[in-house]
This record gives sequence, C-alpha cells and structure tokens, in this order.
Amino acid sequence: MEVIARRTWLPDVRSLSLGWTLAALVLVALLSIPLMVVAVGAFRPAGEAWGHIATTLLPEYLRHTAVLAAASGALALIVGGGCAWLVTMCDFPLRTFFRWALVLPLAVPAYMAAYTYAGMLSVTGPAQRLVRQVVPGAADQFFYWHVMRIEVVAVIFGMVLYPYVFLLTRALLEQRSGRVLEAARLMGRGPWAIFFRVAIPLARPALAAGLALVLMEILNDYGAVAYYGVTTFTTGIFRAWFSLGDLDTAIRLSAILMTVVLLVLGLERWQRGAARYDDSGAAQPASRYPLRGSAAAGALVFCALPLLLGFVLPVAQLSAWTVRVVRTGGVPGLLGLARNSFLLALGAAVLCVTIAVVIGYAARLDRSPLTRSAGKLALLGYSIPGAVIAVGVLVAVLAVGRLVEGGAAFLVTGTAVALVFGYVVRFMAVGLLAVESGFTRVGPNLAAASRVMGAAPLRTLFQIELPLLRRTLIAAVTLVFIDVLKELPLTLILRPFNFDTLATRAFQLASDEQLAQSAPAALLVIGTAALVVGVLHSAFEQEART
Amino acid sequence: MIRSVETVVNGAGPVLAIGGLVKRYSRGAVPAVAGVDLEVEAGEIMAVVGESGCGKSTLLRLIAGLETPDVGGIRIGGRVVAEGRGWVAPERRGVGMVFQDFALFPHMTVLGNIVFGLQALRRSERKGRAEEILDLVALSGYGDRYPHQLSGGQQQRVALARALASEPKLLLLDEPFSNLDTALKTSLREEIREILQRTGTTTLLVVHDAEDVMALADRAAVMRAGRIVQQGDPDTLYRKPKDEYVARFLGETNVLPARACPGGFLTVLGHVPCAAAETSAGSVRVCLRPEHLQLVAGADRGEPAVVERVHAAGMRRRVVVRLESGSSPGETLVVHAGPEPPLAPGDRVRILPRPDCAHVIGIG
Repeated sequence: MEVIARRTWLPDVRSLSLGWTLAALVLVALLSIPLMVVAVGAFRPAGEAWGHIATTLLPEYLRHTAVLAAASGALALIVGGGCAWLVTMCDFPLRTFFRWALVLPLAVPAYMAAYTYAGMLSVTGPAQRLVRQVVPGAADQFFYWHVMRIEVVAVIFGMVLYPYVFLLTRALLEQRSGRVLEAARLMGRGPWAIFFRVAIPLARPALAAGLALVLMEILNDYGAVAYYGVTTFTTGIFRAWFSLGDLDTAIRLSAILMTVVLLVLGLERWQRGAARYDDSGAAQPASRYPLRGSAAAGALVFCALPLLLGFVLPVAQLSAWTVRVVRTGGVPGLLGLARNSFLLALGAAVLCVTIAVVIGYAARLDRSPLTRSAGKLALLGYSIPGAVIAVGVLVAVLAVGRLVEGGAAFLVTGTAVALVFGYVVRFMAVGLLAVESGFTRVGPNLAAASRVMGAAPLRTLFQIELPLLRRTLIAAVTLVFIDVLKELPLTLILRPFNFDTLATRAFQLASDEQLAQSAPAALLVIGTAALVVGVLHSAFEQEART
Repeated sequence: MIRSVETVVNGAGPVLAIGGLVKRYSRGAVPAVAGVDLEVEAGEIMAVVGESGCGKSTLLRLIAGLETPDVGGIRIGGRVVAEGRGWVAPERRGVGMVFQDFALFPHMTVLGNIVFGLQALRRSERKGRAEEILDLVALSGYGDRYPHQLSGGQQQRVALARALASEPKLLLLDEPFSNLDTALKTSLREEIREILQRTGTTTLLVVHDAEDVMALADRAAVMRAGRIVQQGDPDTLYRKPKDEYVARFLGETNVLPARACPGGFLTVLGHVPCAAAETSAGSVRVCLRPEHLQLVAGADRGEPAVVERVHAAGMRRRVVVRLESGSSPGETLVVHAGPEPPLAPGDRVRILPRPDCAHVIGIG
C-alpha cells in the first residue's frame, strides 16, 4: 500500500516507555543482589566452622525446623480453617466480633509472644504459682514445669500465625463458595458432610497458601527460637556470623534455608495449579447454620481460645509489666527508641512503595515478558527469611567496600542505608502486590483515555493513576510500616552501631531476663500494629462493600 | 525494542489510511487483526461492525496507539504513526477516543475531564473552550458535576465532548452505545450524528449492532476473524451482501438454494424474477430479506405455506412460515407482513417474492 511506500522515518524515542522499563529493570536488579549473592556464595569454599556445623548441628537444625513446621503448621490449619468455617457458615454469639478480632494476633510478633509466655509460664510466673495454690499438694510435690521446650514454641507459633490461614480461607469461603455451599445444602447434605466433602476441598488453595505463609514466618523467626534455646537455621546463621565471625558459613546456612523456602513456595504453586485467587466475586452472605446450646458454646470456645492465647493473654501480661515498670520510674530512652523505629519504618515504607510504583507502572506500560518477570523476581524477597537477606546485604556491602576504601564499614555501622535497603528487599512484595491490585482495580481504560488525550506516561501517572491509587498506596505504606516495626532478625544484623529500635531493645531486654523492662517497647509495637490491623481491616471491608 | 517514528507526507488523501495491518496478542496465536486495509475520508463517518472477538476493537486500539501492530502501517492525517516496528505513542497521534465504558476520570469534574486534554491551548483559553464544547453537547452548566453524578447518557456526552474538545483529526468511538438502554440509544444516536456532522469530524466507530450502522454511518466495513469481509455504504451492504455472514449481520434474512435461469432464479418459491440474474452462474444461494417476500391472497400465485409463529410489532408483523410443498417441504422462512389480514399459527398462506430483490451470496 502507498502508506508504506511513501514513508520517511524520523526516529523519536521521547514517546516510549523505554525509560520506565529501564528504571524498573535496574531497580529489580538492585533488589535481587542480596539473594543472588547468597545463591552464588553457597558455592564458594566453606568457612572454618562449616565442617563442625555440618556434622554436629545441621541435623539438629533440620529436625527442629521440621518439628516446628509440622506442629505449628497443623495447629494453624486446624485453628485458622476451623475458625474461618465457623464465622462464615455458622451463627453463634459474637460471630461478627470474632470475624475481625481473630485477625488481631497478626499484630503480635512471634518473638514477643514467646518471651511473654516464657515469663507467664516460668516456675515463678503467675501460671505455675496459681497451679501450686489451687491444686492440692502441687507445692509439696515440688511441682515445677520447665517452660523452655520446643512444644511451647510450636504452640505459640500456631497461636500467633493462624490468622494467615484464617484470613485467606474466610475470604475464599465468603466470596467464592457461598453459592456452592448453599447448593450443597439444598442437595440435602448435613453440615459435617459439607464441611469435609465440599468446604475443605474448595478451600484447599486458601488453606495451602495460608500454610505456606505460616511456614515462611516460622523459617523467618529468630527471636522466639533463640529465646527458647531451640537451634534452627536462623540461630545457626546468627551464631556463625556474630559468635564465630564466619561469613562463609552464614552464607551456606542461608543458602540451605533459602532452598527450603523456595521448596515450600514451589509446593504451594504446584498444588494451586490453575486455581486463582482473584477476589472479583462480590462478598455474598451464605445462609448460615444456626448453632444452639452446647454447639454454640463449643463454637464460642473454639474461636475465643486462639484469640485469648494469640492476643489477649500476651497483651494483658505485657500491660501488667508495663504498669509495673512505669510505676517504678519508666523506661529511659523509650521516646528515642520509638522515634528511631517510627522514622525508620516510615522511611522504608515510603521508599518501598515508591519503588513498587515505578516497577508496577513499568510493567503496566510495557507488558513484555521481561518486565513482567522482573516484577515477579522482586516479589521473592518476602518469602526469604530476614536473616538470609541480611547476610546477602552484608556480603554485597562488603564487596562494594572493597572498591571504596573504608566506605563499607561506615555504610553498615554508621548509617541505616544497609538496613533500609534490607527492609526494601524483604518487604517489596507488600508494596508491589498492592500496587498491582490497585492498577487492576483502576483498569486500563482511564490511563488509555489519558494517553489518547495527549498526556505522556509521567503526567498520566501523576494526574490519573496516583490519585486513584491513593487509598491503596496508603494501605501499602501502612502494611510495610508495621512489618518493619515488627521485624527483628534483619534489624539485629544490619542496624548501625549503637542503634536500637523498639523491637531490638525489647528483644535484648527480654534476653537479659529483664522481661518487665522489655514490656513497654513491645506493647508500643503491638499496639501500633493492632491499631493498623483493625483500621485497615475495616477499611478493606468497606471498600469491598461499595 | 520498538522504535518510535514519525513522518509527514504532504498532500490531501484520506484522514485515516491503514495498510496490511496484522496484530497477534501472543506468539503463534490466531491474529486478532489479520491483514486489514481501510481508508476513511475527511468528514466521513465510518463504522466497523462484526461479531464480538472479530478484531474490531483491536483495530481501534491499534489506530489509537494503545497496541503496537506486528505488521502493516497506519497513517493519520497524512502522518505515518505506525509501520512495522515503528510506532508513535497515543499521546502524540492527535486522535480523540470515546471508550466503551466512557473512562471518565472519576476524581475530576466534568470541566476537569475536558480541560485535561487541552494542554496545547493557553491556560487562559482552556476553560472557555471546555464550556464551548459542553454547550455543543447540550450540557452547559454541568461543568462542576462529577461523573458519578451524571446519568449514563450524560456521561456518554461528556466522553464525546472530552474527545472532541481538542479538535482531533480523527475521532474513534468504541461500542459507544453498548452501555446505554434501548430508549436512550435511539435519541443519542441522532444527537451524536448531528454533532459529528456539525463539527465535520472524521469518525471511525466500532459497533456490533446493525442498527447503529444504519443510523450513523456513511460507510461501513464488516469484519470477521480479523479481516474485512466487505465495505461500502450501509444500504449496499444490506442489499448486496457479499456472503451469508454479511447478509445476516446487517439484518434478518432468508437464504435459499437457487438455480439461475433466464430472467431470474428457480427456488423452492418457484421462479423469482430478477433482471440482474446471470444465467451462467448455475447453482447458487440467494438472499431474500423478510421484506422481499409478501403474503398474497388467491390460489393462483405464490407458494403455499403454513404460519408457524407471528410476532406482532406495531404496524409490521414478523411471520415465520413453513412451506407446504415445493422441492424441500418443511423449510421455514421469515416474512414481513402488514397489520392485515389477521394471522394465527396454522393458517394457510401463500408466499410471493417481490421482483428484482434476490441477491446472490454464494455458489452452490
């Protein structure tokens, strides 16, 4: 056709999204460095301590990790799945309260719950004192129960981590399966048959995804297992680095841990198959089974127990300690700690979401496989334990330091740059997933209209996309904020010299057996997180309803 | 990576010219657009019609610059905006577009929506122009409203005003009526046609409803499986469709096997007189629209048939009849009839084709 015959081309790159694509690729590459370093570093010659650790400690690490994963995972599945079924499919007193309140243990970091329970259940703690007073003869028999055992850690993990299973399963039962469950009822099957034959198979993807999150958190944990003296990979990494100064061994352990995590991730993907979790279906109230008498009481107890154990009891104990500490003069430096924590968390959260916007927007503009898989790569950090990322950041920063004389040591010990970088790597997924879901919700047409009306990508982003994403972005910043606030292992490894946050100070005081002294900082973290969890939860509910 | 290109070709010629356009959404997939050639002249309203998934919306997105073509070229207002891997971004093409869901910016007022596209104007002139264009679509005074405060028809007109405000070389309308109810559709179609004609806007619209084509378009192209099957003015497409797909797309039709004979065709309805019939054609299929058949009284003319169903719609009735005799008994036909005489299922009638209406749409 003559259109083509008469052309004369003038190359013009101004109108392309090339800049965005490039920026996104550079950012993703930067964020991937710590993980790459660990993956590559695993093949370097082993450090001195490796032989010792591999033969004597590694089997124990594996055994402890497996025990915790199996026991806490099973507990979280039963509690999370059971509660989700009860609040969506049954009617009993306080159902609507439990529907949101059961999420609250998400605000309690596992390590804080762990040492709080250690205090409560210790030989001199309130629980055992009560038993000795109430049970006749217990005091005479010298009834002492040693609390520092792996079973206790497993139960604590189960009680603070079940909300992951609960949230995903509840969403699935409410949004996608309401009609199916109603159909099953109309076909004349009883509640138990429907629970086992319909609801569980239906909810399987949510149960599995929730379980995967629970396992990630268990593998990520350092504080709880360290406090209870249960050796796992994370304690091994800390030992190799802080006690033995053997970075190569830390890298090897990190690489093994990363492999385990990727295995869990892969299994979850594999079982999911073609199932998808879009929550496009509007929430529809399924008709519920009215529970009466003992059944209602049973449901009430089943829901109350995890809430009590995962939130109310630890918070009550921490509050009691805080009151005692405040009466005896308060905690010196709490304000400074709070300032450190909040500024750090806010900075990391804003940076994280800003980068997420750049990567997400580049993927939206340029839907090439390269850009999209780059976005996927940036999600990986969330599943990798903080200790592993910290080791990766450390190695990367040290490598940069070899190029710049004396610079590396300063970067780690003198500034929070390495720490913030670690946070961004670890929590990128929170920002990215929020931004992506926000873009999906806004849809492609408004941006297309803006472009056709003459607005280049940058103007479209600032005048159309960002204003419409405002709530999503605020939610994302808030989520990263509380994640950073609660984070322990990464912070312990990468924090600058003489720099403490609420989390690290609370953990250190607890480790030094100053449990009461640790309470105010812990309570501040949990209180902030609980507030955010509550507010965000109701905000999302409202959004879903409109 | 795609290189962006731009060039100006002097001279008049069509406002939109497309040549050999191909677009695949993924490697190895069936192309959504499979080699389209199309031209739209200045001031013309051109419609692209076809079943859903025929590639008509992709074609529109390619013209707007929202997709990049795999092969082929697009020229808008004499300027090449896409050819092969060369591509000009949508914001630099100077086209206006009305989206199927209107895509009004929910966080801006009506005025804000219109002003958004007037960056080329001086700041002081923008508001005046926006108010002028609101007046054109009969929405003056609505500038401070937000989109959600407007009815569907008003939103549609804001979307049109927004697209027209910058006086685009080419206006693209994507299924402009699919989100509106039937009553609104008819009046809005008239209104839009009038606005487009008054502003002399060259327009390409994509629709799936033949009625939209008839009411709005100067010319239409029927698309199927990524290709344009036939293009021409709506009346020609209706009366002289190239094949059964085009025939059925533009309205209900009867398709009958026929044999060309001197002065017409031999069909189950007997001899259908048609001056244009070519005897050499042999065995063919002809299309006869429901209004090309009539119900006649008396036993000497037409083919006997039995009424199966009668759909009354005011002055016109749509009658489904089953032929009694003929070479293939049991064939059903659709006939349009006037309000008289009364008809009921089971009634015996006679069918007579009007002369010079039959049109060949295929061989065999």
